Amino acid sequence: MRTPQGRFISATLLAASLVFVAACVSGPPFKKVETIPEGSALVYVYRPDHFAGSIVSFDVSAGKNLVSWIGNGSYYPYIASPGEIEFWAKTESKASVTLDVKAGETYYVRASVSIGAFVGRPFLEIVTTQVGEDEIRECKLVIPEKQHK
Amino acid sequence: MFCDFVRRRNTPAKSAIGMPLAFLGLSAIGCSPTLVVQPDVAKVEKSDFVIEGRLRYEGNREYLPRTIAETASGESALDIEYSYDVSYGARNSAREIAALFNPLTILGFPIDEDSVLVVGELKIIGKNENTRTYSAKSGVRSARGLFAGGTLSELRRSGLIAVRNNLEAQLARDREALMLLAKNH
Repeated sequence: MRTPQGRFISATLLAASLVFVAACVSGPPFKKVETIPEGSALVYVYRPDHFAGSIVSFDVSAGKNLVSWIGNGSYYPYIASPGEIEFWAKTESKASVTLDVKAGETYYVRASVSIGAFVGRPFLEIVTTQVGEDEIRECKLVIPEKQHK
Repeated sequence: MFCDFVRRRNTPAKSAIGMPLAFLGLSAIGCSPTLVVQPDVAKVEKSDFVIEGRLRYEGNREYLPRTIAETASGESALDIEYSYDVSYGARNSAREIAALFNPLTILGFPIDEDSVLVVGELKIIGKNENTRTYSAKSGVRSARGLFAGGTLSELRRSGLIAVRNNLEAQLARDREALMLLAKNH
């Protein structure tokens, strides 16, 4: 006979699983952008798949423009105009990193989740092309419903 | 009533409120960014010295030394090139994991540290490729806790402004040589 404690644990595990699945991305696997529009730059905003903080997701913005929702194991190729751009995200606190974007170049901004008081805090950092190319291969494109266009 | 509370000797209630407040205060101080700039030159608050030339710089004008002004291109103009490089310290995930098991974390104890290194270089090119080069370096570090810590963008900006101010001071100190360079051009 199932005890009340057992039922409570099962319900909790089920709820946690549903939240975890909802936070996951099921878009297509990584595909490199072949052509960058003239006069623009390409910024890959990506988040490697890690268990820690996996249920936390957030929107990433570039200045006043919303780039994309970013969940665990996802990426989004953002076409940026040249200039100084602040990429930022916010949950219980704000994280941001600024890029000097030059036309024709490709950049990698890695998103992750850091310890927070209540929910995880976003963390954004610029990584080298080598690191970015290595890590983004395992990511999947943010599903269209979550993209901000 | 508050004065009575302060005047009374140490009570359990006072310790329960005072200790965490003290920790929060100390951690806020500990999380303040530290900035180091090289070379060590005295800061110039305001300078009336301006050197004009054809400017080769595509970034935010806020980071350009204010003793530099752009002039319309012409044969008599100096060439001025300014560039900077920004690099970031690596994030330490192990420290963050360790912080999960530190009870002081909830009181604002630092979890990790962010750091930015900015290197700026200014070249003033006169006649016959006679060039004067100035460079400055700044390192900014900021501890990050649950309730405090700046963003990498803020640290970057602090570093760039510090480099700018240092280059201004170097230019002001080298004023006579620069005026001679401008005259001979």
